[in-house]
Amino acid sequence: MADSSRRYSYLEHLSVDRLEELLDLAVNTDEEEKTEYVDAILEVIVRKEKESPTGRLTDVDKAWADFQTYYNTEDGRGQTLHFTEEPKDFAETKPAKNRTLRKVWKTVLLVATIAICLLFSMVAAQAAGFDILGALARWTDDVFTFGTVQPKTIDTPYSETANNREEGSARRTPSIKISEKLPYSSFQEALDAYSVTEVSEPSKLPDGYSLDYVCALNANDFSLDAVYTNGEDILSISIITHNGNPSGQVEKTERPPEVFEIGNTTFYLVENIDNYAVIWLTEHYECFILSSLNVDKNILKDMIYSMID
Amino acid sequence: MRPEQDAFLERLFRTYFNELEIYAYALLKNRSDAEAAAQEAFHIACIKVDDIMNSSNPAGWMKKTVKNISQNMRKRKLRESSLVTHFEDMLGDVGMEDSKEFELFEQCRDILTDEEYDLLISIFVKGIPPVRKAEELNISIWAYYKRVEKMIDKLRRELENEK
Repeated sequence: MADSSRRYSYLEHLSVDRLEELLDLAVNTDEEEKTEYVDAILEVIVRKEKESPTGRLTDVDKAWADFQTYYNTEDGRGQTLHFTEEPKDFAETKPAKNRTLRKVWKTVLLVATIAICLLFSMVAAQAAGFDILGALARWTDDVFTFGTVQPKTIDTPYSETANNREEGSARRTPSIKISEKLPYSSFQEALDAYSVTEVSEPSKLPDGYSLDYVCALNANDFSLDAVYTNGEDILSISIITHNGNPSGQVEKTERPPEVFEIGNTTFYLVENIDNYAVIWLTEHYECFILSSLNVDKNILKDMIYSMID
Repeated sequence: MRPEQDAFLERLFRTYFNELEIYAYALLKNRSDAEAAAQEAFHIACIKVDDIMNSSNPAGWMKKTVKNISQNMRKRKLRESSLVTHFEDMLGDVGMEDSKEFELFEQCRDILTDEEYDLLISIFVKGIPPVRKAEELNISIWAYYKRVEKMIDKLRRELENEK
């Protein structure tokens, strides 16, 4: 359960209303239910409700008494009301915490005009803990990551997307997973709503840019994204829970990352064919800013300073 | 059941009941239905106590049972929806004396006994959870549902005849 707790620790930051929304999405889906994720949500809801009751939970003593008095009765022996089929033999259903290195690919906040090649591989956390200061940035001539460098030939959301496959082209356009747009008029409102305190909305933006929309993606991990535009180009800020296992990977040119520090945080500015990416880690999140090359690097840094001040 | 089976089920109930009712709520969108689904799942666990005690994942077993029950509860509600709609429409309708629904209501009063009519009102107008109505009537949930089935069958039959 310890791995699961770490993996879904971000749930602790969400309100019970929001957790119920996530649960709703998780259980009312055609896809196979993610057992570990659902269990983690249930666990947090029940814990929060016990700490600050809002009437969602039945008193267990009362429920047990009801069960003994009205359900577990002589005339109910062997009877069923709504149960119709035998559950499968759950002996074969392994608890999800034993899952190892199952890769789940997720593409976040990608905009065709920028064609940012940002890829996240979500790998079940196996680490015994996460030491943010000890997290190593790694890069090759092609990619930058705080996790393990993934070979570019691996099956990714980019590689087999029929409608945007470019024969002979070195640059691939990613498939887009649509995330949920949120009704917030500022990124800060969304950060506050999700109790994200490790990142703030920038008070300075490159000239002409304003917020277009904020969106969230709730899958195995949670991401929150803000998209700004000047009418031509797009600039985005993405934060993704890393659960002790950062694995975002950004494509780059051969040029090494530019490294700068603000306080105790190290930022890496990476240049790709047609975009800049700034990447850093906080205790719970991997953070990315992606911008067009038309944005001056120093202005990009000013923007980051304004997020920290 | 043997004492160790009783102890196992009580421990399971106290550990997982709340998680199961929250899980059921996500499927049913109704708190009292969710509580009923969780209760019924534990009744199934009593029937299949050997299965669940031999399961390597009793919580998962319970959750799948709740899902099964919730899906069937939804189907049952859908089946009864035509009848439910008639009475839910009447809820809060102050001027219903002049409405066709009121006429239907009066028809029901003529068809049903006082006890059956009271049951009808508790379900479709007052929305009293089954276990609370069973408590009020001092009967088991099984006896309660038998009375409900009997009342609905009678109503359907008579209303069909009068068409």
